[in-house]
Amino acid sequence: MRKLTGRRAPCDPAPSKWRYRMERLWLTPLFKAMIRTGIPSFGVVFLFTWYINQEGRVEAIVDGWTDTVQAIQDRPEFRVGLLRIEGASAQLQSDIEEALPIDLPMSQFALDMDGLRSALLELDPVEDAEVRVIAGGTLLLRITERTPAVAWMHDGRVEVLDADGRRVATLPTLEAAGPLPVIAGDGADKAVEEALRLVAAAAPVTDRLVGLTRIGNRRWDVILTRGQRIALPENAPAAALDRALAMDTAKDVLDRDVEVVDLRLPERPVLRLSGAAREELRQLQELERLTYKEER
Amino acid sequence: MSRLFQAQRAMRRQRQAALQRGVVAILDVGTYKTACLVLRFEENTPQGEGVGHMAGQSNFRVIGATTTQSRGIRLGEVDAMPETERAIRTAVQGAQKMAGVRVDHVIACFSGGRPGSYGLTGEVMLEAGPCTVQDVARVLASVDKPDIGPGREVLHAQPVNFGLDHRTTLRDPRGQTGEMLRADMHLLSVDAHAIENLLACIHRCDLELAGLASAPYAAATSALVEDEKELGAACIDMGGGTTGISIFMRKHMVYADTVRIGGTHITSDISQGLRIPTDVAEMIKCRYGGVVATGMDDREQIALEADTGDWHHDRRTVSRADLIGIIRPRVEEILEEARASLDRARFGDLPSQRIVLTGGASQIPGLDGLAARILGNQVRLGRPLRVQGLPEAAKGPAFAACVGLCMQGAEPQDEFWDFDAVPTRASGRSLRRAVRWFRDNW
Repeated sequence: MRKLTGRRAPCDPAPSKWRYRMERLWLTPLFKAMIRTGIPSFGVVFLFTWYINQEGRVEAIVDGWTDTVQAIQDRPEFRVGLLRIEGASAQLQSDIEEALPIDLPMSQFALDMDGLRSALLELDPVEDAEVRVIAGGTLLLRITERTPAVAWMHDGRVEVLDADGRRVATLPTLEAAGPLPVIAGDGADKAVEEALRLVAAAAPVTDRLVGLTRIGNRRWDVILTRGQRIALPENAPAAALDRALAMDTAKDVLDRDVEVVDLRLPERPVLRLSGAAREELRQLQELERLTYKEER
Repeated sequence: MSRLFQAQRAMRRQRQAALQRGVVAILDVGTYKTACLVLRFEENTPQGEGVGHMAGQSNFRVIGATTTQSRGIRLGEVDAMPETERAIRTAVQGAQKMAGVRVDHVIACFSGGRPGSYGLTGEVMLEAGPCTVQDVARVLASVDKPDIGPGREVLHAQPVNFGLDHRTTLRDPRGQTGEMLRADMHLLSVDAHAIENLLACIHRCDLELAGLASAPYAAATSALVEDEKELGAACIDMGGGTTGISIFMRKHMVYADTVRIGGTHITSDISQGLRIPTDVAEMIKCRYGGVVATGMDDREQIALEADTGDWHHDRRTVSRADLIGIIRPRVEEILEEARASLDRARFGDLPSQRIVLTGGASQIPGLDGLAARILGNQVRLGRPLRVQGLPEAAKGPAFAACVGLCMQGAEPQDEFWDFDAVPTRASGRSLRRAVRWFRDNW
């Protein structure tokens, strides 16, 4: 029997005229390039321009972006809530806590680490500072304090300097300086290193050493008890001090009634006697002259 | 004949434009199939040992090929124009899709239109000195157009021979001295309306014509080998609706004709004789067809399945010998007609009697034996040249005309039109006179 179903007229394999023309148009290279790249890229540029040109659109975008950034930065994972200061004395700690321009808690992104570090370094007692955020949202300030080396009296104040001559603290009185060597005079802070060498050189007379005075911002005088002083030259002061001490060892110069041991000219050391000594010496000399006369 | 020259030159300009663009389509609108090839012209001559002379097929590559069933074509001529247009659209679109490029220029071939072959002669006295291009142009212009009848159009007009005084068979007379220059020309005329219908179909598919060739000529250029073209041979292109006959001599076509019987007639014979549909008849012809019956063929039964509803009618069988009995008379008739056409062209007087059978209908098994009995014993089956990129399905003899058209596109035999292209303008003459004056006086 002839099948009544499933028989369909075979469809025409030939393309219609318009389909044929569209196919040929599509195979045209210029047209293809225009459809594929030209129109989409132009459309993107056009839409972007149209979108941007609307009133307040840029602000909205910028605000949205800022809000997003803020929301991420304000997350608890980035919050810094604790401050830990290591290596600072109690006084310095309170100073730092007063001086630092931060109020915790705040976001990590808002912390200006370099600014913090430079602010810390501006503090006098701080030699070096390390600023970092460690786990647990803690801001760690690791401080290296300056080591006090000398007490510097000038303009009626007493300042503690470190070995480089930088100021560490200001003391109310000289007693607070404790065992620190004392220096005085203008420009003494620039020559702290030399002063320390001199103090070391003066170790044999430590019990008599009062301090060092910078004279004319040029050279040192060593002040001893009883108002004695040793005037040192500008060059090689330590060697000159050694020489004075050697003289002291040999002749007990410093135990005698000498006011000033002047070593400013190395080839001609001068001793300045006190008034009483000078009188004594004059009397002795007079006596000697008289006896000489009698002999004659 | 100057109008004809202008038309041919216009077509050649289109072809050169297509070559410059690098892509051209080949369109073979036959009775049975419509084939479209897309060629890309590029220099890719293979290098290496054993690579011989390439007959121009190394200049291009087939990048798209589509074959579809022809519609609206009868005996090689347009029968229903919209149907033909659809078939062309199908083929062109498929080939374009395969190639990935758009083609605008098409070289077409044409098998119908009752081609008429004319041998023409012209002669002219040479003015002075050796024969120049102008003399060749003059002698070609002196060939008078014969009365090819009303409604006829010239399809090919090619100079096939030049003679100078008593010497003849000159390939190129330029530069030779003599008194009288003769030219023999072969002119092929076809029905003007048949061509115009086909061209209208092509134009309605938005394609520009870059060349038009006769199908027998195109098939012969690809199916004949070089020495056969040189020594003389006939090519019988057994197509679907027509059988084209062309004779080549000294690399030029000297005769072309068609017999208006082809493979579709065999199919319709089978369809009528066995009372089966045409498509079943075509399938049976292609699968079981032959021209020489043997004893084995009596025992081989072919089922004739049909869908009419009549039980007995739908379950008939026929022996292969019966099928051959239907096919063979028609094939014999085709070959007899071809023989008659060759006889009219005095093919028997030619020195070489080589006959090459090609075309789709030449694939019938045993055809060479049958053809040898009718056409003479120098018959061989020809297949087209091998062309780069051609799909395997399009390498058979049915595509001889297509491949021939490709060769036409790559290396056209239209040097004839060059001869007339030299202008005889006053400017050129005065320049030449100035050059001569310089040469004489310095």
